[in-house]
Amino acid sequence: MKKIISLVFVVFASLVLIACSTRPSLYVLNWGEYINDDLVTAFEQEYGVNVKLTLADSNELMEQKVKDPTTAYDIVIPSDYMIEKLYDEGYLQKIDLTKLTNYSPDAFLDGVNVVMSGMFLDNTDVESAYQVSIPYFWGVFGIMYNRTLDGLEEYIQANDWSVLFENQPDTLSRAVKVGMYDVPRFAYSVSMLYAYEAGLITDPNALNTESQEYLSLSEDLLAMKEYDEWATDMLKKDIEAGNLDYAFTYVGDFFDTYLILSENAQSAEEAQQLTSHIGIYVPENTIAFYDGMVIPTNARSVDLAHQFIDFFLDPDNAYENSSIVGYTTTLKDTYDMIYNNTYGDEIRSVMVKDYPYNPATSDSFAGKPLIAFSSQFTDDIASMVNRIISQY
Amino acid sequence: MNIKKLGRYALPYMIWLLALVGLPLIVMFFMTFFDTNGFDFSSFSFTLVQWKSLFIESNLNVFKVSLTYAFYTTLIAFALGYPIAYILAKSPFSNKLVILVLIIVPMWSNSLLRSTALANILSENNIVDDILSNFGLSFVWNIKGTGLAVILGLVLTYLPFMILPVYTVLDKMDPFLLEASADLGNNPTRTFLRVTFPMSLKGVMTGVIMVFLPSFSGFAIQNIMSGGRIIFIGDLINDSFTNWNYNFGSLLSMVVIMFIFGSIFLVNKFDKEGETLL
Amino acid sequence: MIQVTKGFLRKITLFFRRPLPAKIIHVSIGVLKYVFFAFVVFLLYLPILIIAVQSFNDSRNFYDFTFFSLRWYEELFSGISLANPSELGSAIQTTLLIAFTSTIISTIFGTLFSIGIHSMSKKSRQKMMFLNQVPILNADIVTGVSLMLIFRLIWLAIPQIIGYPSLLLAHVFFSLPYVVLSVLPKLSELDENLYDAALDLGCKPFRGMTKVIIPAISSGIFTGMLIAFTMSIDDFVISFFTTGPGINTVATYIYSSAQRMNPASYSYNTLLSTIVVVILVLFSIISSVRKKMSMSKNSIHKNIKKGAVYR
Repeated sequence: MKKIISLVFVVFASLVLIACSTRPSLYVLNWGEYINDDLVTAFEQEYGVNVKLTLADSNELMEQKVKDPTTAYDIVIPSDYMIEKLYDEGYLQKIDLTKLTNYSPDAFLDGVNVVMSGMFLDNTDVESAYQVSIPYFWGVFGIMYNRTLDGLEEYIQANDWSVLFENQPDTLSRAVKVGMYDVPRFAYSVSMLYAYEAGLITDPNALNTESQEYLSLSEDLLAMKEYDEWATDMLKKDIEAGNLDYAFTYVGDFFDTYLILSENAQSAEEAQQLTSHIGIYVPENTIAFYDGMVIPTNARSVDLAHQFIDFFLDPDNAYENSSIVGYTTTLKDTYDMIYNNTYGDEIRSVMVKDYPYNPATSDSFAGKPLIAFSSQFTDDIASMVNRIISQY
Repeated sequence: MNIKKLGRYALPYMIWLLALVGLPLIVMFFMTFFDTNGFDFSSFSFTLVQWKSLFIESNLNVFKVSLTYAFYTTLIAFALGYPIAYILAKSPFSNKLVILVLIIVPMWSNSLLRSTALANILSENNIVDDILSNFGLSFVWNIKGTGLAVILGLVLTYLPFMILPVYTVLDKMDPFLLEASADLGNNPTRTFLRVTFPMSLKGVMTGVIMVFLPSFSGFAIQNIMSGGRIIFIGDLINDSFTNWNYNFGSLLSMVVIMFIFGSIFLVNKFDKEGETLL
Repeated sequence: MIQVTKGFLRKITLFFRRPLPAKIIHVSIGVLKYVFFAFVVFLLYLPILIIAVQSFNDSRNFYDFTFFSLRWYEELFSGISLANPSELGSAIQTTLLIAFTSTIISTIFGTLFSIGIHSMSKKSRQKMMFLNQVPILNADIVTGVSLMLIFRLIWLAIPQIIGYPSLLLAHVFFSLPYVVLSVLPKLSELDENLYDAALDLGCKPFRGMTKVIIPAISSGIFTGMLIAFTMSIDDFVISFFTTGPGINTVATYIYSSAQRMNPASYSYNTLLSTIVVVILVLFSIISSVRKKMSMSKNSIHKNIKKGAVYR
């Protein structure tokens, strides 16, 4: 008995000692599989630090962790509306752009600039959104679908968001299986986009408006179809496998799937064959988003945090990062590298040409980012969605 | 009885429980009457809105659904688990503990992965079908998203928790009692019904608790197995807390606790001699 | 050995003397029992088998099996190195460390506390059990949030509490009730006269406890230990709220990645299950070989096996 206890102590002590290294630590809070581990190791070696990654799978959980005074993170990568909310509530500090050697105002794609210009409009102390967050990945929302069903692609392309709400036409030979994204905020917003499109409301900005009237309209709309699946990352997997026909997803989900399917392809043609059964459609009125690197107020290693951000602003590093993450890169140079096949990645070069990897190629791009709702309204939306689901 | 003097060993635990369980319970109870933002007490007002929203139809519906599924899960787990425990306890096998651990080993794999794997093969296009199609065979049982899948997922996840306590009780059962019963003229079936089963009730109750409660108040397994289409109380509680609505979350939790204890209290009334749970 | 053969022959002769219908029923029940047992065990292991299949799948896509590959195992092993562990690697280290430690602590203390509770008056015992059941009853997130807040209070005085200490304490917190729940019923079956006898013979109370009480309730302790370990190794919600920055367990790692996680987790799960099963099977074979050897040495059959001889 005593032997066991002393053995445990020895093991425990030795592991604790190993864990306490003398290198400084950088605490990063990020989404799962959203960063290239090789790049993190490269950063660790270049700067002689230990990067400690913590994962969260939703903005709300990230919020909890940032607001928790006992856990101080140096870098957090939340989504646009959460960034704005955290800054308004005083949890973020401004980034010193002079410390970022790779930063320049025109380092980013046009679409990113459009999205960023719509943020922090109410904050007089923020001249440019880049002072608060540096965009990491961005994109828009769309409808990802499985092409196997005859006529589905045409149906989706002709009807935009209404395919998520209205009854299917007779041209389709069987009942379609539809998925909805299981983040109540997104479900509310897409229902408002549809409402505007269908002429039920006149306010194009309803998706960003806190209103009980819109909320009950949203409830009616989302209840129109009994969705076959409410999920987040599972949607793209089920669409690819054919368990779902289409769903409301991130466009990045499509590219993630494309990369996974074409992992072992030898040529772009082979990649196209392997991915011929999936497609993505982006209606003109859509939600834009970005995930940005921010520095919390209680960060312990602020300079190191700046170096971390700078590291990922390097176009070559961002290129490496993009090989793991399917979401759209934010840097112009990196996008050019992918588009022009600078490093011999023919598959990706063809992929971005075939599909809307960079959605802002037209002048009319006006992707709206989501703004932060109050906790109360967020909870109301969640309750609303739960009400709908409980009626299934 | 000298053993009574060992009561002092429980004292530290009493303090531990009061601090870590009692205190949060009291706080939670008060939270249900106030309107705070998370635990930000700077602006709070007395309100009964949480209690009112408890009784809206959809919440009661969710409650009913959770109860139903948890009930069926427990029933099936009992129907499968008790015989397993019985067979194992009565078998002449020499290393029963090994078998017991073998039964619990699946639970050391991550439950999310297990549920996802199960949901995988219960979908129309699944990995087993993919492999079998190379041999001209097929396996499709497309029930993912339905209640049956949820029950399957819950039962397979929590079945070992029914087997373990029942086995513990059956294993150490005094064989001479069984012999005495046979001597008094009971055939094996009657012996079981009148001697074995009543004596194993304690283990059964423990098993029932350990299966019913996590089924009732969890959220991950049914979320995966039903594709998000079936929600339990656990989902509501989880959502409330992540959206900083600690008030409603606390209320739901208290309702769950009061409901369970109410049932236990009723059971105790019928179970005169046993102190099964309290 | 001879005894066993004799008993077996006796069984067979008795069996053949029974009337035919009884024979058929007897055989089919016997067979049915084992088929049923095997079937349920198969069901329990079914998800594990699927995970194993997925771990050998080259593609990250778990619906399609592209081809057999060991790449995820390679990734798992290269990530476990103590010097520079990957996210999953350090999560595995943390999980195993916390699981073992919290199991040992909660088993020891849980047993002591159960003995204490058993000795209390009925009223105090009821109060204790009420509080004891609450962590089991509460949804994980409620326990997680309340613990998080308590740790926040403690953090004001002792900042070092956040991290491994808070994680360990949280795991002990939710494991203890299960140990108590497993040990207490066994205590009520205990013959208290044995303990009295031990004291009368001159044992000090603590010694009396370890020599008399604990062996009698050992199966309950073992069950409690198993359950505590199981709860600890797979907990994610509570761990998520009570861990420090940068510290992950396998469960929080998988949970927080949603479905975006590294398939090396499948390899980890498969390996864990396989290794444990192999160890158990080997252990069982070795110990039954040992038993047979010691039995053949004794000519007098000392042990009265429960149940087997009486049929």
